[in-house]
Amino acid sequence: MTVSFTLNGRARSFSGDPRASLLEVLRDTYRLTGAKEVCGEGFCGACMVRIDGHPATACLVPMGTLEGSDLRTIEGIGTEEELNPVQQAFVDFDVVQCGMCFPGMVMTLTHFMKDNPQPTREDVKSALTGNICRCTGYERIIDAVMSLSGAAQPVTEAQP
Amino acid sequence: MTQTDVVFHRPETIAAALSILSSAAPRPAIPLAGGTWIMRAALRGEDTDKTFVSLANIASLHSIENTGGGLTIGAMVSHTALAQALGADPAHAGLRMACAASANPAIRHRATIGGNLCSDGFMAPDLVPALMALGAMVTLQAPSGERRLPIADFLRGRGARPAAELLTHVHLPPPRGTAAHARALLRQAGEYPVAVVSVLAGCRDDATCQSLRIALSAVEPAPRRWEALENALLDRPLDPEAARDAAQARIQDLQPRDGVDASGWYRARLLPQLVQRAFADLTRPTAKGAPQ
Amino acid sequence: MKNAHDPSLAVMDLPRRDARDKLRGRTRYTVDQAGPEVLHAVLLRATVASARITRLDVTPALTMEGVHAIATHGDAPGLHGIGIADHPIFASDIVRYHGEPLAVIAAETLAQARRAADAVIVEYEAMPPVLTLQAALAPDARLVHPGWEGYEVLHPGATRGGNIAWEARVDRGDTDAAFARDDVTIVEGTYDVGRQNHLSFEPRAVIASYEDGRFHIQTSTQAPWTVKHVVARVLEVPESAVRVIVPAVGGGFGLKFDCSLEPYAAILARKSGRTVSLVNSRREEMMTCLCRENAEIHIRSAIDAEGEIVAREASVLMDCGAYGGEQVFLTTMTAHTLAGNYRLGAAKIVTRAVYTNTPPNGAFRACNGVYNTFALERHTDEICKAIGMDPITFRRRNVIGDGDIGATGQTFQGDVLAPMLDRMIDKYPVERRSGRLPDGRLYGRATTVGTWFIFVGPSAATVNLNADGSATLVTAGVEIGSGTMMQSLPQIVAANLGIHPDAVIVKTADTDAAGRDLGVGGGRTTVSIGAASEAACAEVREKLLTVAARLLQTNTAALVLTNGRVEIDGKPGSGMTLKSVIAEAELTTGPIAGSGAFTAPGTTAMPGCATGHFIDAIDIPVFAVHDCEVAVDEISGRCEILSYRVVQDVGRALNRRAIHRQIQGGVVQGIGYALTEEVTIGPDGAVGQTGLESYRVPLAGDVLPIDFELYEGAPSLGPLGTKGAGEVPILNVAASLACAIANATGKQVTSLPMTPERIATLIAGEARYSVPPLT
Repeated sequence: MTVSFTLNGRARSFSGDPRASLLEVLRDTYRLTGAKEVCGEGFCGACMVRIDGHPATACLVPMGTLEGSDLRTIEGIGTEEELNPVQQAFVDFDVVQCGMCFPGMVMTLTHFMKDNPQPTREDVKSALTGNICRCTGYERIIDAVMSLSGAAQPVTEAQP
Repeated sequence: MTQTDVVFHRPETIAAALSILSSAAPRPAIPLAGGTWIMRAALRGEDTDKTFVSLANIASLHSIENTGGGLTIGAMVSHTALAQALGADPAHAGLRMACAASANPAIRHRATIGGNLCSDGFMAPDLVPALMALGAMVTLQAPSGERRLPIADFLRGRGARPAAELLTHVHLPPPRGTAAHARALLRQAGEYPVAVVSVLAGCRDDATCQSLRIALSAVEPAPRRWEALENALLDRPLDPEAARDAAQARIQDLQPRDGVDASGWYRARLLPQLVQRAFADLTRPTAKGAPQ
Repeated sequence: MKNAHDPSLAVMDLPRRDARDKLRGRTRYTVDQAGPEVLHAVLLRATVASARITRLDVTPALTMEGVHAIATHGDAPGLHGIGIADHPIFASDIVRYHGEPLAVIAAETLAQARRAADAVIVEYEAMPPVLTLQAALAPDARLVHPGWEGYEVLHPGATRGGNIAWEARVDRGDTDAAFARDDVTIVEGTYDVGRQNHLSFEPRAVIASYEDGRFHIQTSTQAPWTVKHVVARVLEVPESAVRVIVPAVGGGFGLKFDCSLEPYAAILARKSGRTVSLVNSRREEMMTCLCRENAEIHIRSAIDAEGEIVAREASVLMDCGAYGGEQVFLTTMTAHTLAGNYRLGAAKIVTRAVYTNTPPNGAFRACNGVYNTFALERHTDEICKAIGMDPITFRRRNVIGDGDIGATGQTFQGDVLAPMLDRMIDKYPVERRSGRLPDGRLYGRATTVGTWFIFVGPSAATVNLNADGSATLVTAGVEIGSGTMMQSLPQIVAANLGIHPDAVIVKTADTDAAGRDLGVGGGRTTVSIGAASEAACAEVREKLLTVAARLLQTNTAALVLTNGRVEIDGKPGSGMTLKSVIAEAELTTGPIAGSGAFTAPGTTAMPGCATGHFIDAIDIPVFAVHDCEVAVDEISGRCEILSYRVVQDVGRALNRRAIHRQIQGGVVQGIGYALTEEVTIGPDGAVGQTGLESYRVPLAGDVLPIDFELYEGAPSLGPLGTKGAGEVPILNVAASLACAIANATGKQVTSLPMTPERIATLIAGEARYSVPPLT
């Protein structure tokens, strides 16, 4: 069985075990290692990707369900020249530490800000319920996101 | 991996899915809905070499239809989709909350109502008690035919279901009354609750309780109704403090479980407070003012 | 050289150079490095806590599809440890903990390696495990290490025996006489704490190869030189045969301060001739984490009529698990964390690391300081209650100050804690410490003090000045997330050479290139590696200015380095660019480089006070004052933190934003430790929390912005007057929350973590146990 899908804008087909998780395949087959395997049970959000525009924990998605899907990973967000606004806010607020959770944070929050351009802090915290960070204690991340609230430019993204 | 075709199927009809599930094969076949339970089988130490029968391509399992004033919900409807589809009817407030507050946003987007009902061994579901409170029924389809039964009956037989049977739809009766759903967590959000109380109450003009269903989750190994408490509170006005005290007086009816997350003692300690919170939600002016 | 050590020349609040790639998923941690050419290894681990191995047969696995190599005890018989060499990397004949490695297997895929591990035949003869401190210290306790007397002692002087792996003592003054006085109030308390899992997002992971007769180990570690040493020791090869390199590390918090998976991958690399990757699964990380240890603390104090502490006795039992590990060293810390906050007339302290049949513990941010501070500050509040003195007044008059003598007899310099307390209380005057909120919940507030230290020790640095005027800093420092290697070190080098930090290249750790270093931990990187870097810069400056002085026909004393130029002091534009000086140097004396070193200055203690200690005194103390307000629900026991405030001694703040990050993150990690993170060990000796479903770290909804003040100006040996700022924020979080919860509930909080259930039990009191069992 072959599964065909779009990955960061490129057509791909996968013919390995369709029960394998998307996370395993991204990391091992395509060597896209931005999505991290941390808990493997959907609690931490470190493997967050977008499937057909919606955030999903790649560890819980079997490849066989992805026929015709449009997949975007952290490697498909922002360019060397231009980060997306969430990424740029994280740079500007100097919030990055070990960095393992940040690809997932960016995926979750980019989607969230698109739908909620003027969130409250509580809204942002709710949106982050499935994204754990062990280094930062979150509040600086939320400060950075809140700086985008009501921004003149909606949160759209540069894509490679 | 050789012969990959045989380990993953994407049937487009229920009949085709049942046919795969019932065919003799080298390895057991299991239906795959949102995947959030099955994909963690390895972490539970279960055998993972099973044939996946994905239900994603069966259109009828994704629909939510108005049927005679009630709702028929396809098994593949996600928590998020269901939360969005439920209107502002106070009878659906508990289910809406259960859909919108469980787990975390990404999981709610994938986890399905059918999967929640069929995950035998998952002790802390939110949807199940909310559906029990609503008096929901489920439709099960097998090659031999179709049957419809109340959720509680379904749960009772859940551990020994035939392999070739699909839970295809959940039926909600026409909304009547006001519902509430109270969950006890150890943190603010993002975890399985240590106790859940889901209530649906219908009141007479004199504000006494005419109908009442109270369902619990996470307290015992499987969700259950708390009939003794229902009986104690029927025909009385909805009163959060009285409900709390009645729950406290009947706590011995239950057999709360000890788990890694909490002891049975602690679950029992929380329940009266949860009942009180649920009843306080039922009696909030916004809910009371809404049509019944 | 006027501008050496001049903090005003430092570029402050430097952004992180690693942020963009980390945000774009480009950064390759060790777990991301294994490409298709690499073999995957898994450990076969014991499924019992205590047993004699009667049969271990790997032959069925050797011939399985994809298997390249298997190693067992015979491949690495050496013992390692800290203080005592008691730890084999594989169980030989005895299993001492659930999860102990028995064999390691390398195969072409992870699935093949797992299948092969399942095929290994293991037979045990079970022995009853010793699972608790009480069981281990019972008179008839079974010995976890029956052969303890035969182990090599690496650091002499401590008492050992039976299940006591190590004992450290402090005896200063006559405590017996003080307790016998009839004018003192005696206050006594016993406290117990559970384990804490670091939950670093990157698990322990390693990739090893064997090339040209040497082991090349790429690993997720905080201490490359420790890895080099331990791998050589257990494989019985020269240290020079081991090279350790470290890419970005995805979180450490102390977990990676010890050697862990590296020797297994090294053995398999040599056996298979291939590059081998070994990564712990999350389940393995949870079940064999080198946790912050569980401990029991007993404190007894004698207080005179003026509220002075005339004597203190304490005993601390630290569970080291099946092997001594870091706990042996950490017994030293009690002297300072339990007896370094307050002035004591006399002190008698005994700290024991105790063997049990449980997974070994390790180092974790502010190590034994967090629970000793918890116990001490709860005890301090009990003292205040007993003598009827206001807790701030008591602390204000008893905290360690200038000229005071510490537990081991060292003399502290500067009044630091008292003015920090004043700053906290001036900013947030105390209106009440307990009460009831309008919503019915119980209100509590508490203020606590804490003493921690910078763990100095040896570091080496080399600075190469490049032809373009940039500099390359070569050290064995590791970036674990704190930003030290990205911010502080380039800031320090830049300030010393008069260039912008962006012109400082920081080499990632490679033991083939950099000199010996103790590792990233104990808040030491900025201080120790920073000081070594300053020393290297001094040599560079000397060489640079000698050449420049000749060219500018002046003497070196008249020259300053600024803006990438050498200038005659006070005459901007009078000098020349660094590039031109470097070019001249290449023609005359050769390229310019400098090397520098640093080690603990060895602050003196009172002779005879301390036995079994690894360090007798602390070189750089660090102080903290925390304050918080809580609301406690009486039924559920849930504790909401209403406010949290920190006054932290930082010496000098080089990067305020980076310190803010550490305070916010450290306090939140402390909140998890205090309230929700629980590790339990079942009757089978296995950890009950096997993943993130049951191990509850704080999520975004559980935290609050931490209010903080940086206290500058306390004495420090650190470069530019700095102290490490990363460890100490976690130090008194559990203490503050426990004291506030005790104030709110009126109950004696004596255990951590204070989970909702534990608080509810405290409030319920006897009621929990007097109701008939629910059957």
